[in-house]
Amino acid sequence: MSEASQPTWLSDIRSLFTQFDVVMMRSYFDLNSYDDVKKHAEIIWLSLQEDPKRPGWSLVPHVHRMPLGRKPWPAGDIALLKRWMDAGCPFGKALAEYKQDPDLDVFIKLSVELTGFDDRTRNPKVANALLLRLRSDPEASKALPALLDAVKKCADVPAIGQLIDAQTGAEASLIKVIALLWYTGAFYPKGSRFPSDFGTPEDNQYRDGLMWPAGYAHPFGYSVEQQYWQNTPEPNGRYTGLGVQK
Amino acid sequence: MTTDSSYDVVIVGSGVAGSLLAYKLGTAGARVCIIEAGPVGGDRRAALDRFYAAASKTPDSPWPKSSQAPASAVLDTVFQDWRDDQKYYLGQKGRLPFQAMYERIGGGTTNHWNGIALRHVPNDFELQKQYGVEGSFNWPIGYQELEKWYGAAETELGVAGDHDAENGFLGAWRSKPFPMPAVPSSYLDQYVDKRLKSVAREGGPLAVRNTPQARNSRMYDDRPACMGNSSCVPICPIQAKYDATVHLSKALALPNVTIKDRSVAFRINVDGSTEMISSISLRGWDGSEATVSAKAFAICAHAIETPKLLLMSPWKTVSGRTVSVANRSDQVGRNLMDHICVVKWGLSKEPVFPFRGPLSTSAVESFRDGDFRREYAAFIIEVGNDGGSWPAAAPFTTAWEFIVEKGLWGRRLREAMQDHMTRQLRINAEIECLADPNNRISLSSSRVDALGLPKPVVEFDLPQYTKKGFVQADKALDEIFSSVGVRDGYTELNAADTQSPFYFEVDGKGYQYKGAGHIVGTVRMGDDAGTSVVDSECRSHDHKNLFVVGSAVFPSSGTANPTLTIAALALRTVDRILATAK
Repeated sequence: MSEASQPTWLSDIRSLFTQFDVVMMRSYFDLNSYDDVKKHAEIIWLSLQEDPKRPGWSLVPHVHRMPLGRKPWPAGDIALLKRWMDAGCPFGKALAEYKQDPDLDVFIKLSVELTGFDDRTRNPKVANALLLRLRSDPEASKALPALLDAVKKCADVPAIGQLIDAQTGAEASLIKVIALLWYTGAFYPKGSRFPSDFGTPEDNQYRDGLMWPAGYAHPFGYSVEQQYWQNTPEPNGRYTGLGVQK
Repeated sequence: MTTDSSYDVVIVGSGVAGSLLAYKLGTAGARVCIIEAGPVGGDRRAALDRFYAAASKTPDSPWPKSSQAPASAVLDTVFQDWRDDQKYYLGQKGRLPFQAMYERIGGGTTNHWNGIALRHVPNDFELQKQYGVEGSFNWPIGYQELEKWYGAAETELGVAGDHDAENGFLGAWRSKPFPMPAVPSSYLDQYVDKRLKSVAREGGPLAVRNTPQARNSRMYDDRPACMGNSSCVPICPIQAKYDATVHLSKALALPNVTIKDRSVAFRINVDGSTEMISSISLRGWDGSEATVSAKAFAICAHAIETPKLLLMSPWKTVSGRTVSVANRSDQVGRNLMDHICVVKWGLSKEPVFPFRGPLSTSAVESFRDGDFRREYAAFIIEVGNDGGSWPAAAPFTTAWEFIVEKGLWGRRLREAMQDHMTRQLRINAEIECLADPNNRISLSSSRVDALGLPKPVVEFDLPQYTKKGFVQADKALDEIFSSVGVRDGYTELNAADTQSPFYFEVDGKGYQYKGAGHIVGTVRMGDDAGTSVVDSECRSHDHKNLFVVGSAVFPSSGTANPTLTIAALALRTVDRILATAK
């Protein structure tokens, strides 16, 4: 990037933080999240400074320096972060406005039953992203309105279970597509046991796949614990690579 | 065409051999130019995003592709059209496929390697002398000569291991400790070890040994300790696993080392009067051409691109036949090898909790050496921490099986996934491949890449010695599964598919192999200029200022993953190149 051009989150800033930084600072802020980095930009910038006498430096609790235990960032990277902050923390392209699907609650009710997970399928952000992907899929979107209407009419949880069991044809296929999407973050081509579409990296629905916590594991390429693999995993998530789930 | 002549050494390729050489030569004050076919300095975060989004999480999935520097990928040989040389980069002309996979980018294939950093054992260097194996070829150097360079390589790469456990194993003595304590063995390793030790066996029970690996067990060389991301192949998100961009970055930080990336070396030029190499010609991705001259040259482009470049470089005409550079022996391109894999997976009786930690932390090494090598090839058995991921794309296929095929949903689905995923167990044997002159790389006479350069042709078949080793390895894996208690009914998944390109038979029984991507041979090292291409110093018999450094010079494959030996050879060659470039 030239000195003159304006740094953005997508093209310049997010790649400054390594996964190690993300994990080490996760108690304080999420360095994967644009919103979090924007919100805590000042304190993140302070944590990169080496001078403990600098005003505000001690505001970073416990971990007073980033990156922890490693060489300081090059001065150019710290200056880049500051330029980005001074420019108002631009994202890089128009941020898609969060648009909550009107049937989100219904979709979550169905998903809780369908997946066997309660806590995770109630995460509205993930559920909404999956629902929007289903809406934009030419095949899945056909049977989706009727399925959601049928769920709406269910008086109670057992009725949703009965509905799932009773589906045939396109609706039955759609139910499997939804379950696969929740478990893997992916669409599968018809008749194939191999996934073909994990969505966009920004969605990161691969990392939200329920198969990982189901199998006491973590997504390939994403772990937040060290040397955990020598131990037996615990039901709370400890030693799975996902860490203790709050 | 421009000519650049301000260098002492030109290095082709920036993988582990090229980058280590560049750094060490640069540190010694040499003016170095690296020629790299692909891009350099990619964004790890972007690569990780590509991996997350990739439909098939194959070794090449995070890394940039180009038509100007194409390479072979793991999926190129798995379908029925594997011989389609219009579709795939390697034209496969052999009886069986050669499953090569490599990266033509800064850091080379270490970007996607697993980080296993084993040494060869002493007898690996003299298969012919120790066991009289017909057709085998001794190295002109032995373990004694290479030992100190193995130690140096372990320090440079940052290898974690247990010195006391490794020292003297199968004769491989060690003169210095590892720079880091071992990466802990997984729960799964401990489980398998316990079960194996409880089973009586002729010759003693099998043992699971912790594997030395170029993966940080603590902060080392300004890189963090491993966090067990389980994506070592194809990408370590935090660079706890060594890759050659570590040394490439260090080299390029030196004022006297430079790189020409997105530039494909296409001809090595010989001074007709001295028979010394005078320059290397390269073609940029934009089609522009340049020539780079120097006092010494090192070709470090593994065992496919290295012979390709040599074969593309005419040297002289002898009896009406064009002899290419360094090829008076007619051995360039011959003796192509890989470690041939038999992979099995199944369900253990109890949970072993795979999908956690580095992809492998231990191995059964009892079959790496012994008198049996008179009859059949040696092998190492890797214990995987990745469930059915490699052989069956689990757990993606596991989810499909329970949701689509079995129609499970709700709590039953969650419980079934938990039960299945926590019991998946993968082991595989990597079998020594005997050098065979008919297994070779040559140039296509009709197919060219986007820069107009000929694509490689590969001819491959499994040597008998390796097939015999395969049969024994297959039995050993069955024995381990039986001892550990892998559910019998699940081993049917491992039945050989007669339709697979990798299917072969021995004594009427069908087998199926995979490639390890350990591409070795094709420019072999030896004392006799008539039967080898480079001498014991990795120097061409034919051109005294030309060196070939890397897996191409291996006269035999042994059972160790090749990278540590490549690094040791590279470090050993530094002084020879410096003396030549004076």
